[in-house]
Amino acid sequence: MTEGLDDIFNVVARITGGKFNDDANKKEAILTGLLLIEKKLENVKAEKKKNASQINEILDVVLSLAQLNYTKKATVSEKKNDFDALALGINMLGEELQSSTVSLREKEVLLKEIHHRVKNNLQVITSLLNLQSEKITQPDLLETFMESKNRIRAMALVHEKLYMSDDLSRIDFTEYMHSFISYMDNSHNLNPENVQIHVNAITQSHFFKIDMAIPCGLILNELISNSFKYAFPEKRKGNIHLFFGIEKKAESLNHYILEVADDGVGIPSYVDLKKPNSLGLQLLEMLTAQIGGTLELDRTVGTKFTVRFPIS
Amino acid sequence: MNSSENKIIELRAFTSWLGNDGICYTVVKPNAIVNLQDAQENTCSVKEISGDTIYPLLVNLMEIKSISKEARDHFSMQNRTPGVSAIAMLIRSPVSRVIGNFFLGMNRSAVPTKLFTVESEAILWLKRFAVPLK
Repeated sequence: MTEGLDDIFNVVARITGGKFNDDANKKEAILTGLLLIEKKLENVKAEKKKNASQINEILDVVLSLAQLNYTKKATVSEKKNDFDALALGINMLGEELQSSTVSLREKEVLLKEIHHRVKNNLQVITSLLNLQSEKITQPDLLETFMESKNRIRAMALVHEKLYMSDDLSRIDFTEYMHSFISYMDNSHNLNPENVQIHVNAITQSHFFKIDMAIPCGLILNELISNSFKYAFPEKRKGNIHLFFGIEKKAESLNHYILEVADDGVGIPSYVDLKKPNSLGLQLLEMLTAQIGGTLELDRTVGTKFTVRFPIS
Repeated sequence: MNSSENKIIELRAFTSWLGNDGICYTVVKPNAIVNLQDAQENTCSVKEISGDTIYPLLVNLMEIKSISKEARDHFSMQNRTPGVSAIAMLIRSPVSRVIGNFFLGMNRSAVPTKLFTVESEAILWLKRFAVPLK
């Protein structure tokens, strides 16, 4: 036996962990050792292949979860090694994700139902006011009923838009305005040949959450009602112009701007916005403050109210 | 450890007993796949060996293979009183580590809960919550 062969013999013995004591037949011992190494290599290859397959399976499950498909599960073997732990962790995360998604959908349905019911309840109140107002003969009192009815309708419409939208947390205020104007038009029974409302320029969507949509809806109601009520007495002809959008100012932050202008008889000179003498004006002040806005009155031509409020 | 008079309860997936050190022990059997029924039976067995006393609990997860979502929800103790004063979870294998950490991360336990890899350290910690045996 050469010295080189001895070295090979020692290395093989070390790798295989074999004890080749038979010095007489070292060649055979080396061969046995090499066969053992070959077998070990085959095992390592098979293990590597299995691990790669398990990783692929885990990735497959992760991709399915990303598509909210919860049907696939990664295999967990009895070895309980790192790959199994990973597979189990992914499976458990998938189960939790599925459970959360289901619970979220249930809550969405519930929220939709609540908005629907709130809207229906508000509609019932409106109907009750209608029924009660039938027996009222005093014009002033009848008008008060009508105003209350419109305010309730303004709020009910927000809930209606909320449950009809895909996003239950906010509504498109532009869409709301168009629906609201259409209702007001019918409600006030104004002859369209006499008074025309111009809202065509408002097309861009602006999404408001409920805490913004309700006061904005009520402000809109007060402004439009004001024009309908006072601007065109005795079948006077005229126009109501409505503008809503973003006012871009170079020197300050951008604001939303809501303008209602009419070319009617104009608001009486004694009316002071700082000392409002009617419930409508008081509400306007309060609601504008609630959304952090400012209220302006321009008497140059007819009446123009401008509400500016921050984009939050 | 458990004395002769301390009852040992053997279930499909768990073995539970009350130790003389005032700690309730529950060990997951090797390669157990714990389902809701196992979890419910385990809760009953812990209640049975605890009687009216609230003991700290040592859960040995070292040999667990997996646990179903329903069983996890049951153990998370939502909507029910814990019945134990503290929980130490004993982990070793990567699988048990994932399960233990999952419990800790996904649920807000009503009682102090901690993971351990060494049993003696877990027992030492639980003894702070232990009450003398009746």
